[in-house]
Formats: sequence, structure tokens, C-alpha cells
Amino acid sequence: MNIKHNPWLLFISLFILSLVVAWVLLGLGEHWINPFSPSSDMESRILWELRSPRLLTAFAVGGMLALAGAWFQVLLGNPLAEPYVLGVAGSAAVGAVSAMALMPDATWAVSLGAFIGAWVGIAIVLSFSHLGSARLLLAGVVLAAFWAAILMLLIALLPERGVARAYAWMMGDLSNSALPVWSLLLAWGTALFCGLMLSLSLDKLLLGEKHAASLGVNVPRLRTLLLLLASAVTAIAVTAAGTIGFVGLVVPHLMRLLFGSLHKSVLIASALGGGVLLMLADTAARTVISPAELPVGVLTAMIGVPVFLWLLLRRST
Amino acid sequence: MDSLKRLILLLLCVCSVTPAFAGERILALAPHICEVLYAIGAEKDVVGAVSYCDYPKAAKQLPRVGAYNRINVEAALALKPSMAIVLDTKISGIKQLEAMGVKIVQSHPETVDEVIIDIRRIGKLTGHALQASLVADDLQQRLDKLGKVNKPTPVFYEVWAEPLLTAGKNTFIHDVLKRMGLKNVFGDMQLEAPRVNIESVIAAKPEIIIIPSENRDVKERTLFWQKWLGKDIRVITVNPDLVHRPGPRLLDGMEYLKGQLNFEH
Repeated sequence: MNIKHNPWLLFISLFILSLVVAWVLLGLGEHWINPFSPSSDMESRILWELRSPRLLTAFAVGGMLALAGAWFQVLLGNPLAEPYVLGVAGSAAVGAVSAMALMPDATWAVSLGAFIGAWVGIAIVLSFSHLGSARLLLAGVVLAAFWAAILMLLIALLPERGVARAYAWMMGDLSNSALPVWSLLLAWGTALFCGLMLSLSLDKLLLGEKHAASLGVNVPRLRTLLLLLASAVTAIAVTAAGTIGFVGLVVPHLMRLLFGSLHKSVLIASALGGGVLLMLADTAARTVISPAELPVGVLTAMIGVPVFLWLLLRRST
Repeated sequence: MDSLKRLILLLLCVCSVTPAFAGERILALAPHICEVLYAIGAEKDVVGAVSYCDYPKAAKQLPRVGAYNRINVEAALALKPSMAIVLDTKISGIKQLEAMGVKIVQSHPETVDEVIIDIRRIGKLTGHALQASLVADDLQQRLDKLGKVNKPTPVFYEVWAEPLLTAGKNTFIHDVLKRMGLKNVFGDMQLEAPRVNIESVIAAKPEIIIIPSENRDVKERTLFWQKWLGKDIRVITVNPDLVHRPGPRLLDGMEYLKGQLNFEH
């Protein structure tokens, strides 16, 4: 039985892989703690109250970003598309940084600001969705530039230490997500489920809009649905962890290279593979220069890009 | 290295006894510089300031010419300054000011001792040497009287809560803590404001948490640290303007911290 042609087998084997990786990473930190037998009360609290929520957040966020990336790539018919391509990250950042400026004492305000900002960005992008993918992409890129400009303005007005906080948010931070872990895992599961329901239509869309229409796909409806779904998932990921680059771009391509381009496989593999990649990156972020921490966005780029380039080269020979 | 730096600063002080006269038109381009100038009786000479120059109250009325790291050259020149005292001479606009004939003086004290040296130096440069030396003598006396905590108590200084930032080696805060006999638990880190993991704070076993009381729900932070470091952990808050600004209110901040430490001993 070939794993490429059996989505269930793929799901189960990648799921087991994720569990094994998560279990090993759980032990890593300031000190190695054996997850099977923590030696003190404090150690088990570190395991279950500090490390595991953060690992699970990383898993859910990474998986959602990869899913959103896969959707945007087929929606826009562009291999360079990623979750933030339509400016959602920018508008979410504007929301988050505005919240930091207006209510610096409240930590929840940042997440709320990011969530509202993300949806404002999505609403603007949605009004361009009927124009076709090329113009939608163009609108998204211009909007992203617009949000970036507003962000620079806000940062110029923030006090010095506020700037550090804004940059930390923009480089991704999984250490204090305002959304509870279970809700993120639920969002992850729902996203994967919706994606799988759409996977057959997505395969047809890959052939081009005309072919898809002739194969019985209601293309405009599918596009709107996909745009909403991908944006919603991006908004949740951004609210939970700030902006984390490269996962959404690299993981779907990586999974296509490994498991073929049928969407059932791509989506399953992205949801799990993105999760594993972000768990690895975040564990590295909190351990490599311990006791200091690196921004996780730096690590995703450092891990994701070389792996991706290597696979590209290997495929072309 | 430190003593070399101090020696150079001392030399600079000696060299800078140029014929100075009161009546310069001074731009105070950082909050602590504003505080120093008001403390040494140079308030009539200050013609402009930057954001966050908010102490003493009268300083809030000064015309603003930008922020400590970015100034508007035209706004600055419109005030017809003869001297600009800056934190960092490399920020944009300072070269233009200098080219227009404005005297540039740097004030960037990095240790408690340098704060006092710097006040004397600015006094001499602005023609307020007498009052500056009175202020500096007072600070020195209070510093000498301050003493140290008996044993080096490990302290975690929470510069920022989310993300969790602290003060590393070579920072002003580190020196303030050292002078009080406290041990900064991340004092051997080269980074200026390292972002640290909660786990590593737990492992470092601080006995005191000092929180500058800006932008934070202190009650929430206290509960947070009690949860991870035990009910006995002492959480002290301090006005950040008193201990982060290398200016004349520094000893107020250090005395306040000392009071908090003794009170709870």
C-alpha cells in the first residue's frame, strides 16, 4: 500500500510522527525533564503548565498556517502565495500595535486588536474577490504595503519599550497566547476537516478555472468560500502567535514534493507537517541561546528555507 | 575597562573647563538631560526638549523638537540653540546641527558613578558649575550613605512582562542593582535586554522580583510570580523614571528600593 495514495494511512503515520516529536520536544528546555517521570512537583508543573501548552499552540498554529498557505496557493494560482500575502498579517499587526498603544496594561487587548485588525483586512480584500486571482493578488500586495506604512507610523509614535514589544509580536511569540490551547486545536481540526471536504474541488481548480467549471465546480462560490476559510484560519493563527513567516509558504510545497499534489494528501500532510515544523522551531527558539530566547519567526526561516531549497534541487536532478 | 572609561571621562571633564558662561540656549535632547539641567539651575537656558521630557513639571511646557533618537532639525534650529546636549551623537540631524554652529555635547552615563560625574561636567559646560557640584556632592553623599544589602540577594529585574525581558550585563539597571548589593540573576548575559524564558527564571531562583511599574498589572504579575516561585517571593515595584533615567532622581529611586528591601526584611 502506497502512502501517497492512501490519505488515511498518511494521516495516521504523520499523526504518530507528530506525537513522537512532541513527546521528545516536551523534555527539552532549561533542563532535560523526562516526560515519563518528572522528578519533582515543580518539574511536572513545568512540563504540563509551561511546555505542553506552548508546544500544542505551536502545533496548531503551524498546522493552520500551512493549511492557509496551501489554500492561498491554489486560490491565487500562484506558488509564491502564503497566508500573509493578502495583507492579513499587516492589518492584524496594525490592530495589535494600536492596542499596545491605547491599552498598554491589558495583555488580552493585543490579541483582540490583532483579531479585529485581521478581519478588517479580510473584509477589504473580500471586496476584491470577484476580480479574479491576478487582481486579487495585486490588491492584496498593495494593501500589505499600506498596512506596513501605517505600522511604521504607529511604531514611530510608540515609546521605546513599546517598540520592543511590537517587534516581538511581529516576529511571532508562542509563549503567551491569549487563546486557550483547546480552542486552537479545535480550530485546527475544523480547518483540516473543511479543507478535506473541499479537496476534490481544489484538485479540479488546479486545472484552471474553465476546466473546473466544466467539471461541475461552482468556481465563484468555491473561491469565496476558500478565501473566507483561509483568511479565518490565518486570523486565528495571527491572533494566537503574531506573525510567523515561511511556514505557510514552505510547508505546502514541501508536502507536494514529498507526497504528490492531490489535495487530500497535501492538506493532511500540511496540517501535520506545519505543526511539527513549528514545534521544532519554537523548541529551538527557547533552547539554543538559553536562558535567552530567540524570536520563533527567525527560526522558521532558518529551518524552512534550507530544507526547501535542498528538496527543490534534489527534485530537479 | 570600567576604570579606564571613568578615567577618560574624568580627563574629559578636566579638559572641558573651557570658558563657559551662563546664557547658552540649550536643547535638552533626552529626558535625563532635561532633569539634570533643571536640577543644576539651568532651566532658564533650556529652549527645547524632546518627547518624555516630563520632569520637573515645568519641563512639560518646553517646545518639542522630536524624540531622543530622532529630531526635526528645522524645528530645532528655529529655537536658535547655541548648544545641544544629546544621548547619542550618531542620531540623524545632529551633524546638521553641528554644521550650523551648534555646540554638541554628549551625555550618556552608563553607571551610577558616571551620573554624578556627568552632572558636574554639564554644570561646567553650561556655566552652572557651582550648583551642579552642590547637586553632585549631595548625590555622592547619599550614595555613600546608602550602603549595601548584607548578602547579595538574587534579583530578577522584569524590564518587560510580555515578552519577558530583563537587563543584562553592561546596562545601567545592572549597575544600579550591583551598587545596592543585589545580584542580577541574568547579570552575566552580554545582551542588553535579553528575552528570557520563564523556565530559566525559575532555574535562577531569584528571591526578589523588581518590576518597574509601567504598563503592567502589578497584581497580576505578583500572582504570576507567586505561582512559579512560591508564596515567599518578594515583588517590589519601582517608578521606572527613577531608576532607568541616569539623572538626578536616581538616588531617590535607589533609596526607595532600599526602603522597600529593609521594610520587608
